[in-house]
Amino acid sequence: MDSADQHPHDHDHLDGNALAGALEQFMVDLTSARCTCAHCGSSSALGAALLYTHAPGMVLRCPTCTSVLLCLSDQEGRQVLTVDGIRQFAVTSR
Amino acid sequence: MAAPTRGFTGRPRNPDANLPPGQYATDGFPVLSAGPTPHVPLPDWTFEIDTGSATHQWTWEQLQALPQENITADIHCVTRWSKLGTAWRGVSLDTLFEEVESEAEYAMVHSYGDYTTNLPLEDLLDGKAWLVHEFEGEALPSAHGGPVRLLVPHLYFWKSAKWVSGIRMMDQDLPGFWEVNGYHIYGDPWREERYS
Repeated sequence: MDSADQHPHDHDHLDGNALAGALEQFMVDLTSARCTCAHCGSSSALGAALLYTHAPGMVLRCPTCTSVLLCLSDQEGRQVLTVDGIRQFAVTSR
Repeated sequence: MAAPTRGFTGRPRNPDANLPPGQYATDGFPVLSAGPTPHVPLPDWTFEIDTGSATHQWTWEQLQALPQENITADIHCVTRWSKLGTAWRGVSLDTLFEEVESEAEYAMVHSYGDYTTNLPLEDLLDGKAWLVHEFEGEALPSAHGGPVRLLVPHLYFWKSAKWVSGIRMMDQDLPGFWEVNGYHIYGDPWREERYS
């Protein structure tokens, strides 16, 4: 089975480009966003989390359990963001 | 007649033959850390190798009772500093693996805290890796990974896990902490394998 066969042949979905408008709500200073830790479930402003910068990338940790929330690395022209430690981002609608 | 060209000569050679490409030498010893420094009392410290079917564990006292080696090595950080001629003391991984039987070809190194890094098992054997507990004749400071860190000087220094707590053998080369975050799965400084 090739990937085309796995693609759902329904009319219930759009392609991801249709998210562009809705995602504009996140074009804000995200340090004010509340984020929920995927490890312990606690919620806090991203700006209140613990940032470690003396490393190959910047590592943000949960202020409650110190698990990694996100990692942002500047790899010589490539910005790599890993956010699998965040279960949810929440920003207030503008 | 056109002047002869020098032709392709490859990457410019570093003026210091001991420095891999893109590195500079420093006399300092920068402290890099992706999280809080764990403080493990020596009576509580253990190191274990988990093969999946058996677990081998050493206490601090048992580690000290094993044959100790003095190692002098150049170390190379992916953030581009290198420190030449560093002196360490510790136990060869060959000594620890003498009593370990496993068919697995890869290792995930775990640290106190949540750090991990992956290596092929062959890069931990044959005199290429140690558990070190002294630096320049002194007990290894916690800021540099004490009481015990891994030393694998032929790879970028993120592979030399600080505060090491154990090794889990793996059948596949799964990525560790920095490897998940875009850094190279192997990390040979002489091939400048910085990023994936």
